Amino acid sequence: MSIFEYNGSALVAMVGKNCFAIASDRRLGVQLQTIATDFQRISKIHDRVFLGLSGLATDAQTLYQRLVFRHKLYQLREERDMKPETFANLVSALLYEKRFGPYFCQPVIAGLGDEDKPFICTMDSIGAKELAKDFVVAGTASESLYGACESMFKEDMEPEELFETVSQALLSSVDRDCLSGWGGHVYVVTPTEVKERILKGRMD
Amino acid sequence: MGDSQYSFSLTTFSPSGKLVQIEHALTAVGSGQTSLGIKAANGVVIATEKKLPSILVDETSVQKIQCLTPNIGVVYSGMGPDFRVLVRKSRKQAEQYHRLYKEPIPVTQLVRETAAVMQEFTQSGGVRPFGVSLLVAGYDDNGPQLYQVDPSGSYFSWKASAMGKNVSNAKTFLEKR
Repeated sequence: MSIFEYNGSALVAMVGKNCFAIASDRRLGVQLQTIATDFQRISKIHDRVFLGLSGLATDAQTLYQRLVFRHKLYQLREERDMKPETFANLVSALLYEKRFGPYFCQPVIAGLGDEDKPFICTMDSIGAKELAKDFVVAGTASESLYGACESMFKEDMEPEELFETVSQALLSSVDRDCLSGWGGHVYVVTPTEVKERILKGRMD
Repeated sequence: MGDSQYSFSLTTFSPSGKLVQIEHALTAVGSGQTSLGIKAANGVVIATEKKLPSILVDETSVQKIQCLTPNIGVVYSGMGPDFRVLVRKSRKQAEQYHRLYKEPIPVTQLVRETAAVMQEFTQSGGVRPFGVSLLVAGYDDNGPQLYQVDPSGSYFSWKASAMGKNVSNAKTFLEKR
């Protein structure tokens, strides 16, 4: 079994009209055994940048702590928040530092950049960035997520419709993956507010 | 910095609480060629005297004003070779920042890091302080900025400033205008 499939995860981020949504599943497993059904995969870096980390949970936690550390120092030194593009570059650089002993994580970064333009990207475990204009996916359920997002995505969705689309794509994809599921955690971020919602799906 | 025989700093406090080496460095700066900078509403101007020791010197080989990044430049008063070393270090720091964040380095950050280097040389083993004061002129998201960095590592933001020979006359002129 691959190390990336040890804990199980599903992550998706989608772009809407002046907003974005980032969603994850809630299962934490140790191979076939489920040990938590409320695991947080998505974290806020600051009001306009969110980070989701799929893959090995211990690496996800450590990488998150390192990134928060770097961002806090940046905020203190430069007296401003990091732009999402800048943050993505930082994550990429940190991952590549460990090129020959990598973090077994696939990050998904979503944020609002200058002029409230939504920004999403994902990268592999050694920092190869992949920018997208519509959606990015990561985790053990990524193949199903690709299919679901591709068919359900529309350009310029308003926040409410975006929430529906992301939720449906996530729940239907994790149902086809035994290692992810047990509900969903969706953040819909607009320039004025952040709406966090918990989804109830098939609890298996 | 320095091998085990020079693990102590050469810059030490005098009984009156001054770092004499830094005072001497400032004297070296004060006898260097004049340089000055003025911050305008939409940019910064820096200038320096380029007086060469003989007419035989190839003036194109002497560069007293250098670019640190496409939008930050620097001029100095004091020892030319020390300036070259600082320019090299600052350029590397600016590029490292860009490699990490893919963003051009803000002027304040570059000034802070350059000043940190200059301060290091007042507290490390076996080295002497830099014999230059820098005027760093840059334009970034916070608009035009002008900073002076001294051999001690302290930096100040100025609307207009001058360094080197005849600095008091220059500053009086700038204050009036």
